[in-house]
Amino acid sequence: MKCPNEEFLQAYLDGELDREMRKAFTAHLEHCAGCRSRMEETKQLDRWVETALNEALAEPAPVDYAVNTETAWQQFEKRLAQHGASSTEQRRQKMMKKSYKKWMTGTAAAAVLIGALTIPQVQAAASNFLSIFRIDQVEMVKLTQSDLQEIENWMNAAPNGVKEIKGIGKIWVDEQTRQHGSRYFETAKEAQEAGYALPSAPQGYHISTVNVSPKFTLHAQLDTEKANALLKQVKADARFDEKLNNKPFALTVPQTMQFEFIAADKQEAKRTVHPSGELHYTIIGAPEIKVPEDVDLNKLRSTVLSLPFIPQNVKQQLAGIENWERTLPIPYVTDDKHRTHEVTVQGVKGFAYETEHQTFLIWQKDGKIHSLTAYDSKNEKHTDALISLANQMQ
Amino acid sequence: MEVRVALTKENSLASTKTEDFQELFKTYYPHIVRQIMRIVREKTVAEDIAQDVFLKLYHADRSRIDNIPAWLTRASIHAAYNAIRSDKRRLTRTKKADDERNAHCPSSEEIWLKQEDILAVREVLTEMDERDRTLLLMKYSGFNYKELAQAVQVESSSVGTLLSRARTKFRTMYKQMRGYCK
Repeated sequence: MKCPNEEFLQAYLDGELDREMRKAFTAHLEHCAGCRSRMEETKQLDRWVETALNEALAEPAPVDYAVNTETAWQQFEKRLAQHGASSTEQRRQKMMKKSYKKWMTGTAAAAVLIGALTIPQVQAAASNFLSIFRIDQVEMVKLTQSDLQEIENWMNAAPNGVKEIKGIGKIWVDEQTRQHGSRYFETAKEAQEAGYALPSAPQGYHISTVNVSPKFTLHAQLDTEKANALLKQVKADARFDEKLNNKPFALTVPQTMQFEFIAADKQEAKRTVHPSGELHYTIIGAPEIKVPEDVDLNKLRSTVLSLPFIPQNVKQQLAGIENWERTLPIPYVTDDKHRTHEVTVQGVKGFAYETEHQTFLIWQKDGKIHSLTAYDSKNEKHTDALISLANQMQ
Repeated sequence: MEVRVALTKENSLASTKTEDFQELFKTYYPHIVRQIMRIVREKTVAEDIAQDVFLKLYHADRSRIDNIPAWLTRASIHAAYNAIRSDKRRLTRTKKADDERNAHCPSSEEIWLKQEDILAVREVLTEMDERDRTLLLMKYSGFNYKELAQAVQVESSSVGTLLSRARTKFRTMYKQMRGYCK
């Protein structure tokens, strides 16, 4: 090997050489005093620059940087509202496309939630006005790009008025739920003092912020006449049972807690797990659904599954979920930017979902749904490391 | 209806999260504010700049952005130094903030550089070519060559050379600055 140039030395120092090159150069350094001394100089410059930057751009002392993200977001929304009018046509189209996707995935989830209402046991035991059951499993439902396309095409071609779904039902939230906002704590200590039990952070991490969203109940009522008119308009064969008309459904989501974990050693975390050195952990209590007692739930489920904008692939998956009455389907998109696979987390079955900007684990344990997210990059995935961090949180 | 939206988000967590700007904002905002604060020192100024950076991200075509943290970091550095340059009071501000910093860090033995050295480094960074500055700051924030290449829009293969030159230039400018000051 010839004596390399400055740039090569720099790349060696920055760990940007491939294994072969690195090996070759290490061997070369053994017997080349010239390169050793140049290497030493480069190293010194590198250290000096690093120290100079770290010192000159040191983070202000902790008391100064209690960052309130919630307030910042509210301010941002206000600004968006002011700037909204000036958005371009192109941007609007992009937004519409996104809202289709979002709407669709939300709908697919809602379809199964409603579909899940069709439990025979619920009908058998229907002596109360409402029957109650809990969702305590999660299942991934795959959506392909062509599914998305299909939905988008359907939305574009849909007859006038179909997109306007107002009036086919109403959805509202308890007065009580509206009044109690979520609570935000800057430190684990504050949250503990407020009486919340906290999970143990994985090794090398500590809890930085805690966000507690209180239990909330969402009520829904369907106007079957209008809903059936809509189904007829879109040429779906199935109809909603008239008995459903104006009957109350309720979905209760218990308290949800979100935690931010910060790595004690950010440099280390950057190398092994994700670039931001932060993890987000969410615990969602199992949602509970109350349904009217005398409704033919099987019929309701098939009606929902027959909605024309749910692609065949999705319908099959939804219909094929075992224990569907207790399962929360989580739709996800598959393409070259997203990948999902089954994993074992804390000894139970879970899923890892990898996208361009994040790796996301979800599993169900002790009647609760848990998720752990690392924000990383497309080219650096450390899913196994993330799973072992999750295992440390038991 | 806002609760309904929140619910939808929970249900379809996996697939909409990357689409969801609020999620992006809340994830990266604390990190970005801190990063900007390292440069501009004042919290309120940093918060304003962070708002601008996120507004820019909001209006950008995010499907074309490979790496959101890298994009945000580059944009923050750019905006922070723009603010410093356009702020006529920056010298007084820097001084004031640095005095505050000293008040918070009484163990001055731990500080490797003297106060004048720190001011010189900050001055060099302000005066420096934007590409060199971005490369240096992002490199020492832990981004790799590929991310640097995207951030300053050059080929990956030339990052090593540019970075090496930027380091040397940085030291040269610093030496001149210190010499000139004395």
